[in-house]
Amino acid sequence: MSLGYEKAAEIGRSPDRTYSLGDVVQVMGQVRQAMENVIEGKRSSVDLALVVLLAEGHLLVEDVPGVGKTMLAKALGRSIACSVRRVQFTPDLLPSDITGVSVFNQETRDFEFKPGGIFANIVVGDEINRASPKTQSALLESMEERQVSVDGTTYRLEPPFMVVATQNPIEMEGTYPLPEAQRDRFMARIQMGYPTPNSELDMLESHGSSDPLAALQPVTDGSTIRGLIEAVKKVYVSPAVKHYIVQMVNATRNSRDLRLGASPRATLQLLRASRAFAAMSGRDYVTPDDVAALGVSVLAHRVLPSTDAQLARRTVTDVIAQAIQSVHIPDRR
Amino acid sequence: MRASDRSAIAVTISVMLACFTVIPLTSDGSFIALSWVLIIAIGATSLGLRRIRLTNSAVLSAQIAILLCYSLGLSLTLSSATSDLTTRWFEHYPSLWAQGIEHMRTQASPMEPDDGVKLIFVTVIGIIMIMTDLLVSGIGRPAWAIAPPATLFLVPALGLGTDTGVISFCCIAVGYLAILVAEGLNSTARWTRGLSRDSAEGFGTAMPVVWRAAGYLAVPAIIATIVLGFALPTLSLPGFGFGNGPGGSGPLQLTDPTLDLRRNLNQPEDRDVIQYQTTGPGGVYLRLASLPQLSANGWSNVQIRLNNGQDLPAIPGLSSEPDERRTTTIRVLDFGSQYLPLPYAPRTFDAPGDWRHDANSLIVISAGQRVQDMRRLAYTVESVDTDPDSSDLNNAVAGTPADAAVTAVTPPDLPDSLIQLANRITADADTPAAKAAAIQAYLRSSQFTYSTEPLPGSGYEALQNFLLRDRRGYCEQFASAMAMMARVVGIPSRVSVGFLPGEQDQDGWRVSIRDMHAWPELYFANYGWVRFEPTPASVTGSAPAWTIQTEDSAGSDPSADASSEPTAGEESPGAVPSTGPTEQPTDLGQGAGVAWGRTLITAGIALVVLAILAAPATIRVRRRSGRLNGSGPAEEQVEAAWAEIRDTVVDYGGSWPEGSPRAIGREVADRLDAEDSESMSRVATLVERSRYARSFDHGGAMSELPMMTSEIRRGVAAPAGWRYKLMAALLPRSLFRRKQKARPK
Repeated sequence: MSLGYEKAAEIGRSPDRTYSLGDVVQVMGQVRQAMENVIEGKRSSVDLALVVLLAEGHLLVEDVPGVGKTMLAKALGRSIACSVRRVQFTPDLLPSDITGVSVFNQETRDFEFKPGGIFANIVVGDEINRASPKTQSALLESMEERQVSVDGTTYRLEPPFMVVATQNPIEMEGTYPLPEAQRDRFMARIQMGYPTPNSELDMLESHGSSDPLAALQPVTDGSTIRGLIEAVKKVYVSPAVKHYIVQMVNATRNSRDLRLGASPRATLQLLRASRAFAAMSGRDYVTPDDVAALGVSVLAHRVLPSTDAQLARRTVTDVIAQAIQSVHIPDRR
Repeated sequence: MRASDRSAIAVTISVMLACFTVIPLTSDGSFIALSWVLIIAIGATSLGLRRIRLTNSAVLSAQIAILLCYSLGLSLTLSSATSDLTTRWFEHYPSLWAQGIEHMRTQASPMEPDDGVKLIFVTVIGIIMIMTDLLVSGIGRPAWAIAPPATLFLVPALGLGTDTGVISFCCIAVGYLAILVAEGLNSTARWTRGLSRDSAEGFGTAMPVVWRAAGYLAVPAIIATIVLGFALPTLSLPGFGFGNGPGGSGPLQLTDPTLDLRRNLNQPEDRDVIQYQTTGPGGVYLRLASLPQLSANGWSNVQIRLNNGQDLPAIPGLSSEPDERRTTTIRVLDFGSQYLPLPYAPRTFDAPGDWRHDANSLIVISAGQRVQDMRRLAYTVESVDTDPDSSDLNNAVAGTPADAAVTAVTPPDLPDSLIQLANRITADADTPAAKAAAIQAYLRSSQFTYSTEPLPGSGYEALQNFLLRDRRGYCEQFASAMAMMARVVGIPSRVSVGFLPGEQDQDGWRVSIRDMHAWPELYFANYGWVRFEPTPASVTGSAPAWTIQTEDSAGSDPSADASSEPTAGEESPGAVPSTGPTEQPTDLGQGAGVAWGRTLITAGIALVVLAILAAPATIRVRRRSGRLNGSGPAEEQVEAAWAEIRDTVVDYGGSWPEGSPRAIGREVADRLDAEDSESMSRVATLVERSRYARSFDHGGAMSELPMMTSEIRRGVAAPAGWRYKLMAALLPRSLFRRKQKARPK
């Protein structure tokens, strides 16, 4: 297992072989199946996590404690044979714990870099909103840059690199809510929700005596994922669909119910996520359905509801869904 | 200026302009000023009340109140002021309306001044003003504002045969333009005020809807207008002028009896207008009036000296009056005229009212009572039959009637072509009666066709059109042509207007509105005025016996004898003369004089109506075959098939979901059975691929596309009820489908 980081000069390693969309479907099918052994009845959450992985984004999992946020993150990491680090965010966590620190080695009489928790292919940031804003920033900067600079040396994070952060709803005690600028760096947000009674029953059956996470075996590796990411980039997005994406993002900016609409970064990430979503369906082109399916997950955590909407007790999810519905689906090329 | 002010002013101007289009209908222009006062009052009401933001119903009520008050007030000022009028206005007002309506019915345009007509015009213009204001200011549909003023325009445009002129049309167009400009300014103001984006968008999307709706209505309306314009009779009467002259004993206006002739012949529904019983054999021609004067304007009335009394003077020109009198009891039903219908030659009559008669023509004219008083009139008349014997007449010479200065004159400006024709026809005849018979035989020959749609024209031109060019016409043309040619060959003549004998039933004879007729009367010494019948047999039956020369070379049918003397009880089914034939245009196939023109027009109208009815289905079928013909690039074929499926779903009353092809495909597939739903999904995938994929790779599915499309169409149609199926075939809803616009729900 690699260390999960390279110096900046050593970046640009190409995948071992080229992968096709058929490979994407097959490999992702295996990963999905493996994860579903652990997380029951959460097909859409699992798929979204895989979409974010393939689209080189980061995932924010938000919900009340105990619904399986961390389990999802861990299951994803375990299913892929790559470096996985977990960072438990606490109020006293320091930025250097994330990025790493240069320590003076008495033997070599030189400073030696001790990588922090960020140096892995999949980083599980648990309860990210419990850490101080300073530490949050350290994580989020490396997420965006995909590199870490410590003491003047830049360390490139090796792809695949994905942060899966979990957070409790902001109303919970002892939390530092993520500023919108930082929420914007996550490609998608999943709200796990409670399982259905049947799924919960199954969970009691399977988890009651053993830990399925421990039994989870990796079904693929980082190099394959890198190849799949490259394959996803070739998925075609027609001008009409691009137009549709822009219209959709614009709709959030023009909505009366939103104080802050989605950013251009959101536009870009919606495009990438749509590509991955299409690829997972085995299609080499993106349809408006792909975009619409991802709209809420990709956009909802970036926007702020207006006071009116809040007073009317309208959730952001509803508002976004409405905005998506208002956009005319392109009916020509 | 506020938007509502601008609209109200534009509407006022528009309707004021529209008033001018009615001017050709009447010779009395005073209604314009009266209407303008009303229009301005209504417009000002709209402006004022809308300024203080009253509701539509309040504004409308106020306007209607103003209209009613004005109309009532006008009726009071219009009437010759009698003292009890103010207390009896509620009787006076409707009677003024009735008078106006009657006036319009009996007069040709331009009508003589009439108070009732003025009242009607002003009131109708007021109604149009209110409607226009309601459309523009009330419900905010300025595009429709053309409709009410256009009805004003259509009345003269369709009613008058002549061109209504560019001016009229411009009045309407400029008025409409004013409304549209005002609305344009209003909407610009709306934009620049920048209240919100929504108002602007609302405007942007509402207008195409209005235009489309106007298009759907306007196109058939224009087609129908053109068709009706050709089909409807025009009132310009070739060969007959407007012979209005004052009566001898007073300023009595004589209306031209021929004006109603053609209109009545073309009445959409035939109705009985006169019933009579007569003692003599057969039915009688009921004469209303005679037109003695031939001039460049055609046949017309002259000034006549009217006498009082119900006993008429001696029959002009008749040497010995027969003793045998015919008593005819006449009851007028729904018919208004100032002439009393009488058989020729009347001796005495007992009609109630003030009647005058003319010694030369023996016509009887109402002196004083209004035209509608003729209704329900019942009277008895004694007359003698002056019909000559055929062989006697042959030896008769053309006489000189008392009014020879009018009836025996050939106008000096009569075209040579007409004179030559008359001379040529009568070249072989040696006696006046033979000449007359030759002329009649010529007109009754198969060269001439009975038609109520002759070539337009008036005066000599109409005669030339009829005799030399078109050879199509109805009784007026035949009668005036024969009378004219008789003059040319030296026989005094006049044209009489009245009714054919009508149909006999157990109670007596019934004369219908389409029995109205015109015929020539020729003057022979000792025989007086003798009726001839040049109108073809299909309408009038055989010619009178005395008008036929047995040795005549023109060869008209010599066998029949019964036209003027039909004997009751003798008739056999289809024996036209004895049953009192009617001048019905549908009376076809009874000889050469078939009204081909009318048949063609009827057929044409039927075809046009059919075409209009079949248009939606045809357009739909054409659209379908154009879509499914399998030509063009694969992408276009797929889109065409998709559009066809969409239209089919809409045609059969289904809704076409909004969304992506995949979502639509899923929803529509749910309504189909398994196999068709499989096809639907496949087509949806093809559409998706063709729209969004890098290059359209259909994987060989294109060959199955037509089959899948027709499967889906069958699947969509199968569960629909017969009503939906009928609608889908005849009036496909998809033709009226609006382009779907994204709209927040």
